[in-house]
Amino acid sequence: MTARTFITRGLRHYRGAYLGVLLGAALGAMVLLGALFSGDSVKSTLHQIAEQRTGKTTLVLAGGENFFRASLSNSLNRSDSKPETAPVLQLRSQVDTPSGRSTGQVNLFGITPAFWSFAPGDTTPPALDAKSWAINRELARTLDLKPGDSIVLRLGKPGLASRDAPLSGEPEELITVRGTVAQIRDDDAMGRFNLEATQLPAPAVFLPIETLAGAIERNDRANLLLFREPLSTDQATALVRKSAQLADYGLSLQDIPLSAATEIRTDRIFLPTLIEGKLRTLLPSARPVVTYLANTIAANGKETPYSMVTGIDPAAVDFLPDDLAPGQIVLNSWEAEDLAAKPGDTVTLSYYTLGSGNRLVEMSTSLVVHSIVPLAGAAADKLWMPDFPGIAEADNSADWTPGLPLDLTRIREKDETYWDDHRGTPKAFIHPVAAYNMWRNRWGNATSLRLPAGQSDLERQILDTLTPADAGLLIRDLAAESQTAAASPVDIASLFLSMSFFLILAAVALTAMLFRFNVEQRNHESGLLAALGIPPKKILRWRLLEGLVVVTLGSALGTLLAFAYTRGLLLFLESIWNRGGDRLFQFHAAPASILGGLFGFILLMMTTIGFVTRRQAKRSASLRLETGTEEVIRHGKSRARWIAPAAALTGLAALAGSKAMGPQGAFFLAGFSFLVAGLATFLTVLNRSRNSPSNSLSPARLATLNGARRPTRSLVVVGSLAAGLFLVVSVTAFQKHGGGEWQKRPSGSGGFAFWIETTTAVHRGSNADSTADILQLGDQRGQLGDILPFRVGTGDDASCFNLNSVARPRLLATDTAVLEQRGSFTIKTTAPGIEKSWKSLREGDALRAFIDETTLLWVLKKKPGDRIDYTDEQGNSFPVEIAGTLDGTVFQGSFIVDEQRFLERYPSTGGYQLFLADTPGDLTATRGILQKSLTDLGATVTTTTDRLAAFHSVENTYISIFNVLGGLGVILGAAGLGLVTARNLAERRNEFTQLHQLGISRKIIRSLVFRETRQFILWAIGIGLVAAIISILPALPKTGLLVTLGWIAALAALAAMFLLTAASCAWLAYRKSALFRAS
Amino acid sequence: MIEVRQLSKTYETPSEKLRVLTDLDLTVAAGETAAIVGPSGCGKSTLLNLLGALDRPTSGSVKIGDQDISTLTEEQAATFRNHSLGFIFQQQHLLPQLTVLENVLVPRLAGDWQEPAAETEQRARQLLEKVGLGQRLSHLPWQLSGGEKLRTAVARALINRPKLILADEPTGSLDPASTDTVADLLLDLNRDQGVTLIVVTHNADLARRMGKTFELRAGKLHPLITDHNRA
Repeated sequence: MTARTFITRGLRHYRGAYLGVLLGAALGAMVLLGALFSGDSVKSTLHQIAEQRTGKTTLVLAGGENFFRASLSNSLNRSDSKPETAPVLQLRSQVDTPSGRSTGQVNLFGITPAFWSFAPGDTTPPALDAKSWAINRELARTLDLKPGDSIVLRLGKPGLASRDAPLSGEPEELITVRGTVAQIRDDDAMGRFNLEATQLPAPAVFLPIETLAGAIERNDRANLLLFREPLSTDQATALVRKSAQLADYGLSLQDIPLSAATEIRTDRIFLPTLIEGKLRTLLPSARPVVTYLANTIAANGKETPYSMVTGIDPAAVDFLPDDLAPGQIVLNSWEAEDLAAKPGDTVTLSYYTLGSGNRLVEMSTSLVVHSIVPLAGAAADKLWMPDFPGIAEADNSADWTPGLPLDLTRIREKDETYWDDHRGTPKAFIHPVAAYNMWRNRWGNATSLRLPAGQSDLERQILDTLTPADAGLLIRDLAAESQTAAASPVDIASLFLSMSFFLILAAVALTAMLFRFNVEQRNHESGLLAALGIPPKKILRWRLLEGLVVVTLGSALGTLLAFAYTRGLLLFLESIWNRGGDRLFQFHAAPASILGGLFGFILLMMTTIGFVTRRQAKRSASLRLETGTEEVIRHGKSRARWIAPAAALTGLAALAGSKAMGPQGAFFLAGFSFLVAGLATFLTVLNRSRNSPSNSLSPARLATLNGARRPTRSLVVVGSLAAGLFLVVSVTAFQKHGGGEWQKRPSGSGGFAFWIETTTAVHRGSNADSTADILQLGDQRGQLGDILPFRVGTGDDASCFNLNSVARPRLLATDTAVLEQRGSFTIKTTAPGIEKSWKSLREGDALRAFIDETTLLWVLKKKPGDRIDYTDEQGNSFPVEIAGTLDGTVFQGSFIVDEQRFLERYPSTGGYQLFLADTPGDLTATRGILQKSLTDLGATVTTTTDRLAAFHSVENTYISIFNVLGGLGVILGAAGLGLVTARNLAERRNEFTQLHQLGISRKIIRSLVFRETRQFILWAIGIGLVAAIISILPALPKTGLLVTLGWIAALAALAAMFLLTAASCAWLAYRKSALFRAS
Repeated sequence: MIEVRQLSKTYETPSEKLRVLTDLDLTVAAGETAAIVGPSGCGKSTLLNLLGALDRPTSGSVKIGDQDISTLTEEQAATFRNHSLGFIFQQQHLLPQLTVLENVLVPRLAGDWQEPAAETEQRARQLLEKVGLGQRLSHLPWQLSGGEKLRTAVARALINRPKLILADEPTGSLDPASTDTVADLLLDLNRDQGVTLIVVTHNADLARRMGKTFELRAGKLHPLITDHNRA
């Protein structure tokens, strides 16, 4: 016989006893590996989604609201390096169906067939035409669409320049485009294409780029250019620069024959300051031209409405006097006559400029007439006025729609005649310095640059000077961005491991306890082996080898179970991060997780088993032969009596220092300390009862003595149960409630009732007090109180709904003065030296931002005072300083910045796409009315209460998972209690028989056993509850005392029920099998 | 063969120190048989455990042959037991998962036996044949009677060719007939193989069949009969 035979025989013979160990190991391994597999699955899913989201795209040239030629792609393809590129025109739209279904925030992708070759999977291009389009699965699911169905796109026509800019034209009506669904693209066939870092599919429509560009009257325009080659951003920039034309920078050259000049013009109304500066450096002879609309030119009690006035360097033109000063004006003869003005008269110019909060303000300036020029030659050149949208194409002055609040009834007959004859010829000329001072704005200073005609190779010179970033065309490393984003800020594996910690611990403790039972049961065997001269180390090794075989088998079983368990966990995660539709998370188990998890768990189990077995092995052979299964207790005074007060003091210190340690750290340390204190007290009481002789023996005394008989078993059972209860109860207390107090301005709702997001950007409109009815609700305006608009800037959603790692949260810019006046939201903390006020966002050298504390702590993992680099419109990096944190607001996942400071960096950002609004009326009714009224804007109206509740639901789902796992731990603890009870009863079979033989009734024996079990239960509930309640004390005022106590009472009752059931089952099982058979 | 001098053993209890053996002396020559009798709780098993190096004395020395086993480490003591001693317990302590033959072979698991495994197995079979269990080799302990179990334990005690056999109440759970059989067996072994035999027993008949009888009283051994009735 060999040692192997001996071990095999032992395993076979004690298979019943080992079954518990095997199951315990299987459970522990299942939970541990399940946590790791969940992490793997989420990680793998995010990477897969990242791949589907960007396809084979490496880099992207992104213009946003700045368009470039779609044919730039062809130019690139013709270049020497021939990079594979695809132009895309991306817009946002609302999609309606004939059946009345509708959804907003749909991505429209105007594409060429080359786009499909970027797909990670199926690259077969669908046959699309002007009326037959492809959609993705998400849109098909949302609107229940199938091939052949009709859809209608409703979108706002993008302006040439930002609709916020003066003279950018009137916001146009929504345009509608009709088409049919030709194909539904799968996720791996570019159906998931999206530049935004999110795990959720965005609904999308794919149509020919010429169809979409034609619909918005921007033929041959795109705002994305996808690259397939693994180029560096510098290489791509160089390639784009080489193939670019002026049109790609929004520039054009205009011959001005009457002045023998050439003008560099922009299609964005105002020449971007950066481009102006670069071109003036390149072309020193270039002179800025500023042509602007004066609302009124008045003098001598007379006035001329709505006239163009041009600022130009007098030296650049022949007809202006060289000595024209900034405070002077030159009128043309028509205007001089209209005003009966002569040199030396004072003329008042009034005009619109943009004030704070993007409101139009009418300003006026007085200028002295320098001279009068005849309306002839270069002074009568119609080309002084650039093609202002809404003006240039108008037949009559009365038809102007420049996007400014004009009173067109002021236009006289003679004004119309002037328009007919001279169009936008300026009626007055001023010094460029005066023009700059009056009309410069965030989009630029000049409307064009004029330089003498005959510049050789002007276009090439300009193209060689400018970079795509100057025109807001930024090259992004999309592949790298998406892979970085796929590294979720939430480490699911660690999260589940921490949430399963107790369950794993309970499983390990229970398994080790069962193993120990087995070792105890074989004490005689060990004693005999020792007596026969088998070295103790060898006996220990055999025991451990048996344990290793069982634990390995159990862990292997656990691995198989983990596959199913992980799928359950993923379903939980789906409830947080998926909003319906296809299954988001795909199961994945990395070999490293399987092997590492298995090895780690087996090691943990074997270390624990080794610990308990070593203690057994240390006992002498004779003792083991004599005592059998009885636990040998060390006599003398226990250390436990010192541990209890020390641990309690540590717990109190943790609570007292919760501010310094942070609430979470304090909670866990305090909780752990009070649990230890409770268990040490329990042990002390057991020791005392055992060591205190008593003259009388009552059933109660006997029960106490029996409990103290095997203190380790008692401690494991009470400890598991108490820790399980503690976790479940205390974590439940952290459940988030509330959101119902939206009217309170310091609350997370800021006193606003609605969170309104629109697909189409809303512009200030033609009303000077633009925010009064910014949503153009008309008669329904009375349904809402204050409306606070937000500009939605660059960055991604960093809220708990986004699983991707977000380096730069979305910027939300608003008039922070309004928030300050209203006293909305609560600023929780600020960086040192920064005032706790919204005002502080308007100060400082960096762009300052407030953000929800949750996002800062858990997603960004930063602190107030830290800075994050953003890229501005021109591709320059600039810091956003985290000025402070907000307390649980609707803004979770976004940086709140001041609008004016934001516009310094992003002047082209047009319009508002987010609104907070309060209401005097009923929430539900008003929401319905708003949703209906705002259909054209593709608006989604959410109550702030619902938004906050949605955030809370994420945290509460985590807590639910914790509770389920903690609850499993309690059940496991209860099972342990049942096992211990059954085991104790089995081992004491003779004792009960003797009691019975002594005439003690079964009823008394039963009550004795119940007393023993009950004392465990009471101790466990007491220790668990007391530790939980003391530890959560600091959190109680927030979570609502009554709600929390209610939960605790319910859970305690549930736990008690569990435990009693477990004990009863144990009793019944034992009663059936052994006790009375023996008697 | 056995020379015990000034042997004392004390146990700690919650209330006091319990002195079981006090300055006990014992000498048993090689090939002798001796019985130790005494009332329950007098320390007979404690003495046997000390003689078998299963326990360590509080003071004093136990010399078996030339070796003072009270100074051995745990590992050395195990080796000593494995090579030189045979134990027989009242409860036999047969391992329930092993067959009769395998139970006899258990001491070989210590691993440092020079004898080839096949030879040991052959001897085990012979021993079992000798104790009348030749037809029960593949039986499991629960399939044996009390006497058969004891005979298996005897065979196991002999597998290492011990110089000394220590038997603790070997016939305690047997009927008189079986007791005689076992006593015959033990004395045959003593006679045939010159094995020294020390038996702790309550059984006066068995004690009488031993060469020497000592009574353990108040922690000390008192000789009752010397070299009588040798069977």
